[in-house]
Amino acid sequence: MLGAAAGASNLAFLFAGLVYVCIGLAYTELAAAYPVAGGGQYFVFRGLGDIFGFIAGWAVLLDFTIDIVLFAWSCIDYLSKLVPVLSFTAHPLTHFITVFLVIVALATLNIVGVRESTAFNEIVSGLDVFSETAILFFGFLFAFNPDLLVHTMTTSWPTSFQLMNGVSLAIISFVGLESISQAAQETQRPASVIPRTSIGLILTILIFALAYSNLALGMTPWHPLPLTAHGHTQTLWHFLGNEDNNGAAVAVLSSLIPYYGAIAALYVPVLGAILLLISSNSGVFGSSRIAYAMSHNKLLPSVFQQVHPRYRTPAVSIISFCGVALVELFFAALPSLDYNVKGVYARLFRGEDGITFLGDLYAFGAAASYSMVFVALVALRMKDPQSPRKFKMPFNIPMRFKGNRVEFPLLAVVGFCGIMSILVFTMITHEIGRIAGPSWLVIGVVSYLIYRKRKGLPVFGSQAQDWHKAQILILQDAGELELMDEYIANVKAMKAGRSAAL
Amino acid sequence: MRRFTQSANYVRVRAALGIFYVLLGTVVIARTCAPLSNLSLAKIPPLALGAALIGLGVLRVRDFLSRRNSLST
Repeated sequence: MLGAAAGASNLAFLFAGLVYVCIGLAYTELAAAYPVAGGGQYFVFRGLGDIFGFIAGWAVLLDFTIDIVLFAWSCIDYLSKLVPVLSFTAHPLTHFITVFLVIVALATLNIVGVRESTAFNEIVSGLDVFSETAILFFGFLFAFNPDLLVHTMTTSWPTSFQLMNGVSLAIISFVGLESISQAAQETQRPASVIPRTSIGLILTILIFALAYSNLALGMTPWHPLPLTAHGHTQTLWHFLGNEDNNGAAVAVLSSLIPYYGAIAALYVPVLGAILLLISSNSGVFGSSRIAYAMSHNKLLPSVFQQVHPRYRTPAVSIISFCGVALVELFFAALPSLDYNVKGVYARLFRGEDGITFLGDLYAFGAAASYSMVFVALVALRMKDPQSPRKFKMPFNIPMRFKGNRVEFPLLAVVGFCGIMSILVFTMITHEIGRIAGPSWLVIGVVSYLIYRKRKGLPVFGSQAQDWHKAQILILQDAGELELMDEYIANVKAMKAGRSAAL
Repeated sequence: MRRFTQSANYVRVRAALGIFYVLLGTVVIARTCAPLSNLSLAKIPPLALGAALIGLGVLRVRDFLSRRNSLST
């Protein structure tokens, strides 16, 4: 990302961050109102119908499979800062085999049913918050130089193409919303808990993305940076964005902070690697969970609902989507393993490989699914005003729709325009995203149409659903009994209003 | 650990971090504004960072204040 947007990296992160805030607010409203497993896919399914629900879910599945590879890849990149033999640039085959084994191991552990303990996750997350806060504190206190920031932004300003490329890659840094909405079903009193947690998460991720990009452009490194292969000096952002460091930029950046860098160089690679391993694992069970929800709603074949006879885990889903992840890994790593392929990639994909290859695909999937979530939010505000929303996106216009009083979410339109622009940037600047992303969707939609036709289900239309009954069950299961009563009262009042009007 | 994250001490730690974020956000804004007197594009991202830090800090402290009465030690 730093390599792409150069001196405007912080502005690229800011733009993507503002879009992310809108996406986050949309997810918060929807996850609090409809706390079910399925996340964005469920919201689109409910708001826009079966086929769009499938497309959104299929795009999210693409992102989850990329999460598996991308985070496993970065995990090894972080470890390579302590164990140089794992370095992608110096030993690509060792790197490839290690990432491959990590994915296979995660798939096996998920099939057998071994999960990392909640306590372990909480300890690592707690350490991470303190560590990142310390990086921020020492970085801005001892090394940040606003004049240098201005100088870097002026002298290293990117071209429009590079800036668009940078913005589309920046969206990759803003993750976590899908996981929160996935977990909504397991949260007690989600209508109160989800907004608080989500808004904290949105701000935290925005802060760290902005902090690192500002430090990368405006920080004076503790030690002189190594010269390039041609013997030239290099700027910090250039050093962090090169092929050696772009997979573990935070570890490298923290090691260059005065004083604190001496300690950070020792533990940040390990802490980062553990966190990335956990994130990769969340891709494994996130994809199987989405596939289960889609299969349950007859958007995917029932085989994705099947559980292993012995371990009672969704083995078919895990094997299928980890298999897709391994294929993605193969295509990402291939140019570094074979010199001839590198030439082909250079000709066809402007040499995009490795982590950039994965980032391209992720940006496409994220932009495609998020844009549909915004449309679904508007549709649900119009179609389902009875559902109590303890949290609403700000800036709404009151209006009447089909005799009901509704609120039109203005910020959702702003967010939609923002994410659509990122989707357009992705299509313009990423050869891989432009070819492989739409291909993934086309393959999925064709398979969906064949499956629906074979099963005698509406091919382009939607199955009949009793959403009122479904909503009561959702709120009841979530323990939101007051909201359930409010919902029933709203439905009754609306029916009474309609009868009176007739 | 789970007991800790549901305890009053956890909310207090988060509130303390919240105050720290507010202070850090103020420092970032002050450090950016002081040397760069004119309004430039370069100022916007650090100012947004400072504002986000203050926002997160306020959120944490507000959460602590709203739950203060119900906290048990």
